[in-house]
Amino acid sequence: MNRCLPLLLAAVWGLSVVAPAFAQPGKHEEELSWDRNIRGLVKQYCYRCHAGDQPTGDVDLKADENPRMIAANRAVWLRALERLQDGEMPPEDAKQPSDKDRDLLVRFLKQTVSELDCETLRDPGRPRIRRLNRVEYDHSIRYLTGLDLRLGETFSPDPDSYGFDNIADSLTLTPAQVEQYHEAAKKCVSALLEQQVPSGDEPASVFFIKPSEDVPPRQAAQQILQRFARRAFRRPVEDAYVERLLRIYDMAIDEGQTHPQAVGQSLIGVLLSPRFLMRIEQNQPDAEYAYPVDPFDLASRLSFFLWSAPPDEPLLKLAETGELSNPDVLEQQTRRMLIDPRSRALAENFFGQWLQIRELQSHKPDAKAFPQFDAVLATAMQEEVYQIVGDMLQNDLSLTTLIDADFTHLNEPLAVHYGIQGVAGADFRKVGLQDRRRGGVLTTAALLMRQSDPGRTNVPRRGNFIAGTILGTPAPPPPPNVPALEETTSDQGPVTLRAMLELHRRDAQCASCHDKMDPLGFAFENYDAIGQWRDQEAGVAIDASGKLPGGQAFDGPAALKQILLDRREAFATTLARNLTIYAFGRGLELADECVIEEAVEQTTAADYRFSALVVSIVKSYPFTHRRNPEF
Amino acid sequence: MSRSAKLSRRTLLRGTGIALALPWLDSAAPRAAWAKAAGSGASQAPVRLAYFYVPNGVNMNDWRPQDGESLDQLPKILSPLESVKENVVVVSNLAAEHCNGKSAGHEPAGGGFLTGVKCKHSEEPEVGAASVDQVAAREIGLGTPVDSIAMGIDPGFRGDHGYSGTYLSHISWRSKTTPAALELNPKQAFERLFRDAPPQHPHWDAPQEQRSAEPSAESSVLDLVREDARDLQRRLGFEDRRKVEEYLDGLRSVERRVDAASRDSYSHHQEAFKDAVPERDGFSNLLEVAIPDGRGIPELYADHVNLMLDIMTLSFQTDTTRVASFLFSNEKSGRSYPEIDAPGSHHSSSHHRKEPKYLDQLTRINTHHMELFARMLQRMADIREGERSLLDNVVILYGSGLSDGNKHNHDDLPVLVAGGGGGTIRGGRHLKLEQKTPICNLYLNMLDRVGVDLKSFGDSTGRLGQLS
Repeated sequence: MNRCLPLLLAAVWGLSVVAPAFAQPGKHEEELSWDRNIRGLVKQYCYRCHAGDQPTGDVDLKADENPRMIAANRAVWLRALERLQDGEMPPEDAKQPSDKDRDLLVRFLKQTVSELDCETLRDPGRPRIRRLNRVEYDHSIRYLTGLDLRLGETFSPDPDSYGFDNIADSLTLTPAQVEQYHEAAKKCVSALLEQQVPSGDEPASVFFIKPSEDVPPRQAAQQILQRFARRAFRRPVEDAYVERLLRIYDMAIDEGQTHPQAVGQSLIGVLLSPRFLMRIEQNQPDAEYAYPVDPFDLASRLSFFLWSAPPDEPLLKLAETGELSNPDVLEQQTRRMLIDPRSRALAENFFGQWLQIRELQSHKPDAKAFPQFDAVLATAMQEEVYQIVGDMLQNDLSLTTLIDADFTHLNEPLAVHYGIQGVAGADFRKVGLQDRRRGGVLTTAALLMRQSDPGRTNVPRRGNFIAGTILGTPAPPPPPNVPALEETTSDQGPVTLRAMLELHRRDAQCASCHDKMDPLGFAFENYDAIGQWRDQEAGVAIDASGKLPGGQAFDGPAALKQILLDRREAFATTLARNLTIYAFGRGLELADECVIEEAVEQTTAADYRFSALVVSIVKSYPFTHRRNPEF
Repeated sequence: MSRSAKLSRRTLLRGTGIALALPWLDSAAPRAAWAKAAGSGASQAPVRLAYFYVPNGVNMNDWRPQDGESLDQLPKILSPLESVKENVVVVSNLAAEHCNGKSAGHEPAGGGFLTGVKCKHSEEPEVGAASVDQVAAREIGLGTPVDSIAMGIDPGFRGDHGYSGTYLSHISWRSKTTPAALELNPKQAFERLFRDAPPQHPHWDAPQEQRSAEPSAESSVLDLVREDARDLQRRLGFEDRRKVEEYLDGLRSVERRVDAASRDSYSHHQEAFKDAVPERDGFSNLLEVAIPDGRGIPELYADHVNLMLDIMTLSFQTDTTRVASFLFSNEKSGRSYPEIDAPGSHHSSSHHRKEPKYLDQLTRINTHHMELFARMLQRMADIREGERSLLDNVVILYGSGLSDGNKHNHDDLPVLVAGGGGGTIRGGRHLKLEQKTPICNLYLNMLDRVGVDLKSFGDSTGRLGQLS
């Protein structure tokens, strides 16, 4: 594959720190000239809508005045390229370019934005400090103490960016939060001490050594603190630091505190340290270019990605020997961690947030319309999604499992909700399915309910979820001053929602977006606002048919699932984009496009196994490298 | 009014029409102490500042008072204010042009409401400037244990069209990129504000004690942590140093409080009231009693709001802080309110398309919020501070960055000002301004009341002349 990128782009993206520099810019047999060949065409066919103060779909193509600016605004122009190729743009009612002109535009855009030279485009991005978010804090405390205290749940909520709560630059810190950490550290240590006194040896992990005739108390304290701080800081600690911790221990002993209490005082110091609360990676002050990330930092990157938790002992050991930096070992560890039960964190925090069901409990369906709904059912709905993802992880299944599958995971309340017989009890189990009404996550009650209003389905929202979250092509925002959708009645009484939306779409301004959302949403009309199957609504048979913008017709959820399966590469790409954002803890930069492209290639070659996607991201250049911050 | 005395011991009654509430910090006893303090040439209690935000705009038909100055006839949504309307100015025709965002009605309306400047269109949040409450907190917050509090009910949700969800969930910003941490959990908020000590009456003119705390193991822990952070900071790049600096800021505020607690276990103000507060015990079991499910968040929305507002009131009364903000829910909230017969999504109802059934739901929700707000104002009116009430000594803005949720317009905003501003605001009025008067003008007037004197803020063009 010929992946080239104009030289100028390097300057735009500030890649100068990366070696090797752009010694050999890409060459094309016939470079198209923006000024000579292209600008006129864009002006002729695009600017009528996509220019000015209020451009259609908020896409202003005129703002990018030369190839350099076009390349910098890559995401937008890639979409333009896609639409041009699909024949979706210019829209039907606008002047159409000749095939030759269309071809020119496509070729130019491919040259300018779609082909990346990934050999030279290697950049780990600006390094960032990452504060532990609430979930990571709780997982860390559980790992360190063995206690399930969930202190982080009551912390102030973490900011959301790109739909995730683990984005480095958004995880800012305020005095209120430091106070919360302080309170939590104290509570955590009291809980440890309470646990420690009665049983004497549990939890052995923290107070693993007791003062005895052979071990003077201060020495026991020293060993306890050394071990705890290493686990908390996710790397070995200097003796000098432990010595400072011991001075607190001494002081507390002088104040008359007991040995465990005095150790506890020092533990508070560890739990309040920025080295625990933040992930601060090691610099190599002398390095000119990007360098392989320190193995301990790599271990943390990996474990917080897959487990939302600190690295465990095997990872730390491999970091100590440096073996973790070996790509084969890294892959081995990734695979070990994916099938480990702790990867539940990936299901909850990546998939839970991406699919927008992690906070499902805050969605309150209308109790009058749905008296059968309760918190038990809500929890079961959410659990089904986590179980499906868990199954995919444990059994190394294809990521298409998320779109469609001949099984799901149910307990009794959810099986009753789905009208599936023969599932008794509160425990979840794998259940084979007879038809395609369920299977995959898109037709789970959790997702269907989440994209509904409390009392009724929300067709455009469900459709937009599929178009945007699943396929990566969200409808543009509604233009300002949307014309009101007046309630329409006829002699036959009120018109159905479908008829109303069809009326809406007759307006060209509305149609450009709603054509993308509504048909996809109607495919799910057989599921009510809590995701229960229905054949009719208010006595009228459900019509779940639709036509996609490309002209493809379908009827019902099974047909739509088939369409999505046919578009599995688009789905894999969206998944890869989101997973990369989540793994890197930052927005995507140009060089990350190579990571995504590579990951999708890898998973395609591996029958779309999800693990291939993860392994590829983990082994990618940005994940395994870093550069120095600006001093 | 003697309502406070009557209610002071009646805590936490449910099912008899009395909502879940914090017990009163009795104001009867301190009244004597107030007199004593006044006799000794006491200084006045300061003016406290708060901002209340309602999402999705309101049904303006049921908000807008009739033309003219009078508030004799309160429109439906404002009707809960009847008993406190002498302390309310409804301000019409304010605009927040800075809430206009490219392609998004809600995100910049919430995130930008108090900043007066446009938000960046980005997933990593960046508003234009620190919000007005935080600007005030920097000046008037340093003398109190907590410089400000930012409270809310709902954690928010992801943003849309390339905006961070943080714009929806936060109106208070300590800096362009740092939203003030939101307190959603009454238990957590109470613990943080009042630490291990029960709430106390402040004594406004007592001298601050200067004695510094003895070094202890506890304070040494903080020393160690600070040194460790400083060591770390030296090895970091510029951006990262700033991040650790945020941490050190936070640590200083912990130290300040640990220090204060070790000097005076009752309050940062002084001894004088120690004996004058017989109700102290009423608070000791508060957390266990007030919050039934153990996690700290009541089931019912009204209970949750009432508890949060009681805590805000208490923190004003005890001078724990002088600056607060509160979100009834995140902007674009889809919360449903079945308990007041508004079971649909709030956001969906706000896109009412002029249909009566949606407008009706919207009015119910808007009125419900106002009831809860009015209840707090009433409590504040019942708390004596010398010659005045607490309500006389606050200045509170209540409003939204959106007017009509169906149109997403940011002019003709629903806004009112409550409180006497320390005797500087003439209430009981409808103030109809010139169309599209910047809301930042009002912010300046409010800052004046708390002694923060700015030439301009955000897109302000001057001050409103008619507030006093």
